[in-house]
Amino acid sequence: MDNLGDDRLKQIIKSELDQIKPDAHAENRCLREIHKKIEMRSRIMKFNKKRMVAALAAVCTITVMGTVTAIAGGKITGLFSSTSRDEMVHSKAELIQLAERQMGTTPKIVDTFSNGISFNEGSITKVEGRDENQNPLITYPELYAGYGENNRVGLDIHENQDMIPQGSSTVIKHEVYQDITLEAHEDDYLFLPPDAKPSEEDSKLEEEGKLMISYGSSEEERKVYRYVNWSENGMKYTLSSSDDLSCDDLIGMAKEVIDVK
Amino acid sequence: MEEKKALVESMINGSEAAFDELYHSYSGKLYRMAYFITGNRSDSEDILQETFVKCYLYKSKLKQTERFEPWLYQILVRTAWRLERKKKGRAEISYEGILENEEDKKSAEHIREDKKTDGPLESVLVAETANEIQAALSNLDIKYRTVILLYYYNELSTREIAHITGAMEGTVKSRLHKARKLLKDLLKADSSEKTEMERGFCHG
Repeated sequence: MDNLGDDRLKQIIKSELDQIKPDAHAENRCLREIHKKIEMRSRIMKFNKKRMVAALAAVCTITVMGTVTAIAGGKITGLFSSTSRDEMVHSKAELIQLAERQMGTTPKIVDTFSNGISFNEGSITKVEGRDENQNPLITYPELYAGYGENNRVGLDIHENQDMIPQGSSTVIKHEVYQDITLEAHEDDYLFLPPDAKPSEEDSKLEEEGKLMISYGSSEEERKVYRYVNWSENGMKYTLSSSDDLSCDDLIGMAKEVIDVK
Repeated sequence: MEEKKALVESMINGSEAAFDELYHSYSGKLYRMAYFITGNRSDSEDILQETFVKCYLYKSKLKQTERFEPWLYQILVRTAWRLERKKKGRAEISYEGILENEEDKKSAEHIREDKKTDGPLESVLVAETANEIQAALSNLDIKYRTVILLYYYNELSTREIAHITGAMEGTVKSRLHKARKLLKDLLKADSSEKTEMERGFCHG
């Protein structure tokens, strides 16, 4: 097709599309919907990050109508939390102040690790452990500190919660440092869109506990999620990353957290 | 240009205000692109929303801020294709191939068989009204509409289109060539129908 045909087609397409204009009202409504979806998906992604603790039985106390206390046997199938960008603080000092006010403790936070990964932002979020019907069974505050570009490393700190038993992640390495036991874990994750079906092979790996399948992402994605956890002074610390940092790297960084005075 | 780059950088660093500003700046164009691919407003709105949701959630994957616009196009096109696949009852669509479905094959065979339609497209284009051409465009398969859109509306090179659609450049060139042929075929068929109708009317 020479220029005549090209130009005519271009002109027709442009003039057709120039007539298509969403009104300002629709544009703003769309933006509100987009923010809602982002909030929801971020929550799902964070939930995924925090590991599914499905099938872990928990017995907990719940308050009904604010007056009657009942004991319920329930299974915590997930930990939910959400953070708004507005709640993020961008200095370590500010985050420690928040923790002191909202958690009643002074957590150990590194400013810059020896590998150069620095504190980026952080927040205190309310975490809910919910059953399969989405009923909150436990609630507790948790500190989140993001490190490096796009928060490639995360440090989560919360008070020890006995009602959340350990998951079935593969323990890659144990190490004792300053009388504190460090455990490095590694999980293979498959993130799928909400309506997607995993392959037979992936379903089998999931059944065998070798693969965590999470739904809610916008596209299929595989990730290795590594984390190191330890307890100190009644607080549970988890240092995690889903990029190229190895378990040894994370253990080294964890030791630097323990060394904070 | 520098201002856009700064906005994209702010968005990557988590600024919702920058994200909102980028949305207002690109939503009109992206909506029109989605409309051209899908042909309906409701799907276009869904695709627009999904594109920006993915844009924000996966912002860390954008390594070169100056590539923001083609990156957005890439998300939009793949989202639109995924929606189309869902609407086709989850039938698998191979984006790498061409002429995968029966309709495409029939159209291509028709082109091959009917040597009389092998004249230049521009002669057909000048003879048709804009409405007829728009109707013909809407009858093209989604893969051809996409390549036509990116080439003629977004004025992207075949190399850029290959990157956006995840196809080889040769496949894009082939799709573009076949899209023009299919378009010509549809316009010719439409023109023949009209002639038949006019004849019928005269004789009736």
